Amino acid sequence: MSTPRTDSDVAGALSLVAQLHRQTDYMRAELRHLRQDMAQVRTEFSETHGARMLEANENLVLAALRSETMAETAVSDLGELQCASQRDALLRLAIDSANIGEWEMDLSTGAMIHSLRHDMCFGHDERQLEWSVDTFLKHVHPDDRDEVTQGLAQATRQLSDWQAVCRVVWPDASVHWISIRGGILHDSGHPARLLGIITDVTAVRQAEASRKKLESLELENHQMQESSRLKNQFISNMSHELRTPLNAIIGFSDLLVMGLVPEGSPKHREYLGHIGGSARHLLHLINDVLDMSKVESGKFEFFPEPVDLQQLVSELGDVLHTSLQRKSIQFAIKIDEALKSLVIDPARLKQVLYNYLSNAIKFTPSGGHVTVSAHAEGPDQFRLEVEDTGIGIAPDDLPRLFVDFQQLDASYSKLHQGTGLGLALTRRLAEAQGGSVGVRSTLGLGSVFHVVLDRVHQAQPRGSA
Amino acid sequence: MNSPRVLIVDDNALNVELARVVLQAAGVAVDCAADANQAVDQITAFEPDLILMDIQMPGMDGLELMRRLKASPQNQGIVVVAFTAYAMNGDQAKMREAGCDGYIAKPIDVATFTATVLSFLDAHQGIRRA
Repeated sequence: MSTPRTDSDVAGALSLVAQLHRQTDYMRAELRHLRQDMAQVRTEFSETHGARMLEANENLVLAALRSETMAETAVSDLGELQCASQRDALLRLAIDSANIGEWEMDLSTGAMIHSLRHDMCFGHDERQLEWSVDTFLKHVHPDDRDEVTQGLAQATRQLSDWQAVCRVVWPDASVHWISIRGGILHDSGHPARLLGIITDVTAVRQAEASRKKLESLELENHQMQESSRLKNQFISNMSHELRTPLNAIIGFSDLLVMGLVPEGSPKHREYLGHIGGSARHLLHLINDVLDMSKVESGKFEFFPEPVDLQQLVSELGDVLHTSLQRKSIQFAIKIDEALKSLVIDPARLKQVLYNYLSNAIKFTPSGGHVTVSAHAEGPDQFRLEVEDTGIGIAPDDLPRLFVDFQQLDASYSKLHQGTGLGLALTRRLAEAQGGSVGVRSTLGLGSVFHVVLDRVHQAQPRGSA
Repeated sequence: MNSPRVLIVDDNALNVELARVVLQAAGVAVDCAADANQAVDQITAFEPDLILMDIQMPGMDGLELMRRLKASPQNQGIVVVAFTAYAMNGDQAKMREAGCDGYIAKPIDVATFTATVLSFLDAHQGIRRA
């Protein structure tokens, strides 16, 4: 038979462990062991409860043994007591090795019983004689105090478990992190006490903070490297794209200056044309680069005015007439007649549309179709689409399309030249006007690029959000 | 001595025209190809001493074309000069590393272009003679 004294001790140990269980991994096993009891050797089955708690990066195993003697019913008092003291020793070892402080709180008075290790969590090397809930709360960092107070009040009110991780201020003014947990202890049916543990988790918090800092630095570094790589690639592309027309400009002017081509001859005129054409191409490139940097620095200004979309698109068609004709591309315009009263910066809209159209023409084989269509979108916006029957874009490449400095084909063998700015600039222009861009495409069949813009562009005065 | 024979491989018509006119004015026999595939045909038909090779071209790029050329024994003697607007630090070393015998950056200097091109030819033939 077991004595009440022994029962009580075991229950107390179990109560503590059970409170830990709720927050931690829990295991239960039935162990068979031999026990020498008085003069006899018996076989017993014990149920073992263990709680594993991760604290301060150490695996701490708290275990409590409860003897459920299944083979025998008659157990001597001496045996029980020995068993109980073993359990206590084990529990003590676990608590000590994990640097766990213990405390008990009288819920009616706020008075507390506390271990030295509890006090050490608050920066005291010696046992504190005066300690209460108020003393505790005074030690909590002012920024955490309200939350801790509320949490404790709620646990007391609802008679539920309490858990807090917060900062405490030590007497030397240094700030430390503690983890505190408690559970209601039912004393002869009346919940009167909160029983709990406390650990200093400063090291864990610091390690965690360092790890996070390291992670974010690594990410930052990676992003910087990637951005630097893209910029280098962009500069290399830019240099190549600028040198190509410059080769014609400088080379043909040298030829003419050196008198290698008779003045007034058809070749002379042709070479002058090459110089002019290449210079204009160069200007276009430079304008794109400048626009890009203006949009990037938020210095782009828009001048909205009433716009006749049908007329604007027709004008662009005229500008692109030669390229359209060269590849025998059928060009169609489908503007919804209901789409009226647009107020938008016509030059910027043209720029966006020109980028889409020149891309469409560039990537559409001879005899293909390019169509511009427009209709209202939602109550305030409109959608402009440029559809082509070109080579299309692989799904994997779609996300890279509108990214600065990115060209789908970055190899030397790239079929289509460019600075990698056109679509990125288009996106920036649309977004700077509160709009958006997008594309859908089927490889080999064609692409549809779109821009969605406000029908009436409210140009924001500079400086306002 | 026969006039040197130069094949220009470049997809940019203006670049080709400029280099052709400058070289021809100096008495160099010139033929042109607009891409790597055309170049392969022209090499057989024209038998150039030197190829001015643009690096960025549609389809097969210049470096790949050069590797293929150098891999076949009958083309070993052809001097290949990178003729490119890739003129950043390290570009020349990259082209040389890939096996180019010479490197000319665009824009070209019309006054010295022919001499520069032919110097690569001389250097190469000098090495072979030595």
